[in-house]
Amino acid sequence: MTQADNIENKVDQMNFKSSSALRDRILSDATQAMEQTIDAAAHKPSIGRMIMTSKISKLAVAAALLIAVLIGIGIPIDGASVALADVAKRIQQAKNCVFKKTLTLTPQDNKSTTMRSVIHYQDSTIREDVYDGQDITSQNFIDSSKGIFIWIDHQHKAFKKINLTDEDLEKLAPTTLDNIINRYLSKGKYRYLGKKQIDEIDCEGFRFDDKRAMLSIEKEQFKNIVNRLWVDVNTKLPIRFEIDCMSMDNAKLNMVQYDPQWNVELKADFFEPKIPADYINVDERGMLGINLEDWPTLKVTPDSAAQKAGIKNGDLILKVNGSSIETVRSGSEALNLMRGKAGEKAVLTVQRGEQILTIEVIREPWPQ
Amino acid sequence: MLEDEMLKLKFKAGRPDALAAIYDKYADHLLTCAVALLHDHSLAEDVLHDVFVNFAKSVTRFRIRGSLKAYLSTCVLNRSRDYLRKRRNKTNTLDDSQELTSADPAPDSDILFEEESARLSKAMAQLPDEQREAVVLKIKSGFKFRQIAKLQNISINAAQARYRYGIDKLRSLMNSEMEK
Repeated sequence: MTQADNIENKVDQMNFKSSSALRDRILSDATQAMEQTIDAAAHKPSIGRMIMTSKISKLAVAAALLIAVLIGIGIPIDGASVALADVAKRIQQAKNCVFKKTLTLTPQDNKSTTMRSVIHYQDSTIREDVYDGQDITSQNFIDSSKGIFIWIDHQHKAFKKINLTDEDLEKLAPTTLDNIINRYLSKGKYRYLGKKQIDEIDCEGFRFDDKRAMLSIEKEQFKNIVNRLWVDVNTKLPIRFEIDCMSMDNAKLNMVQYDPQWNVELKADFFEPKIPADYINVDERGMLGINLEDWPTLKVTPDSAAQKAGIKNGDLILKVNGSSIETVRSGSEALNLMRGKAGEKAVLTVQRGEQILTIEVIREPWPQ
Repeated sequence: MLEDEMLKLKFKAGRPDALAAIYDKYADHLLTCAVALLHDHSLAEDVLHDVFVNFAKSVTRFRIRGSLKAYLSTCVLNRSRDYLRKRRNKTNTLDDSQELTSADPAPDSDILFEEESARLSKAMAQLPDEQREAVVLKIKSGFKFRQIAKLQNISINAAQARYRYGIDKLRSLMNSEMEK
């Protein structure tokens, strides 16, 4: 045997054995990865979505995000210990989830407005309750499987129904987390934000920039959009989602969804919008053209129904449709008294100097 | 070989028992290759882990015409190269002449550290990367020079030369070790 043969034999006989602990660890991880890959291939992405529109509310912006329906796919993320496949799978396993949400709009004059809400996700349905203190002031319901969006304004006893077109649904589809993973994270279109503690929970963050995570069915446009997803490294569930962006007129918008609860007990009809009979569809409501900020003194909008009917600035209101306004203490309280559908008449009794006048005003449709 | 064809088919069908059988058949060989390439047992275990998890993830697009052993050996080589690159980028966290030891072995570990294997591994660590690769691929994985040449992007003659230089140097290192 030559020396070369001898060395080659020695190399050939070189042997290190895999320990049983290593075998268990590797096979456990590998089997899980295999199952997730098979699951992902078996499930087509489902559409789930969330919209908040507020053309009617004072926040004239809309934000969208969806964490509703997800699929598990295997994607290694270098440097991150949270496997996003695990995250997707964990969400898929959840029955539902509830996030708190804040939406803050800061126009250029820096007077920011914040809207607080609680948002519930279950299958293809979403319910968002918007709060002012302890009171629910408005609600958004979305059922993407039926393509319906319903907004209910409890302050003004009004509601709006929007049928989402295929185009709307298509626009909203990229906001699903599986799409976020597919389109951005798996293609490296993200920045790993590292680890930090949120509410004493160890999290890892991923940043990605795409306007489709911030959508509106209104026509507002946004720019400079930054999305950040924070995931609990232990539960593998999202713990916080943040969007920062600017409207085209340079108002800053910040949306945060946080403090999630998973698998919450909700009544069977929780996602069914309940619209009281006296609420008016905003598409049908009429406008008198009276400014009530100096209540009970009236201000008339030029060329409005009220002006055409003969109401004048400074008229003092006494009755609306025969009912005394003595118990109505503010313009906002009076609003419900005055409102009605377009084409319907309001009978106003006013005092002008020494005269008491009764004037009928036919409500005009709201401008689109 | 027929056994491997059956394993490939079962694995493609998503059967965990096939994955385990492939592991049991090739894990020691792949771990040894990784140790020989990296001279770091702990890193070699990481390489084995990464290779098997990625292999498992490939289940839905799995299409290997050649041998499983060659495929997995190539995965080990590529992953080891990644680790070597990362290690080099760090500032000498591991001295190449450092004694190979089992870093923090698990209490229930049944790793057999053959003295001869450890001595060889130490000697191999002193070879240039490309010569070490040529020796490991040729002897441990049974690659032909043509295959090594392709993996190293060189001519067949160059692959043969690398192998020969590697063996010569290894012999010299082992002999000088014996004389100490």
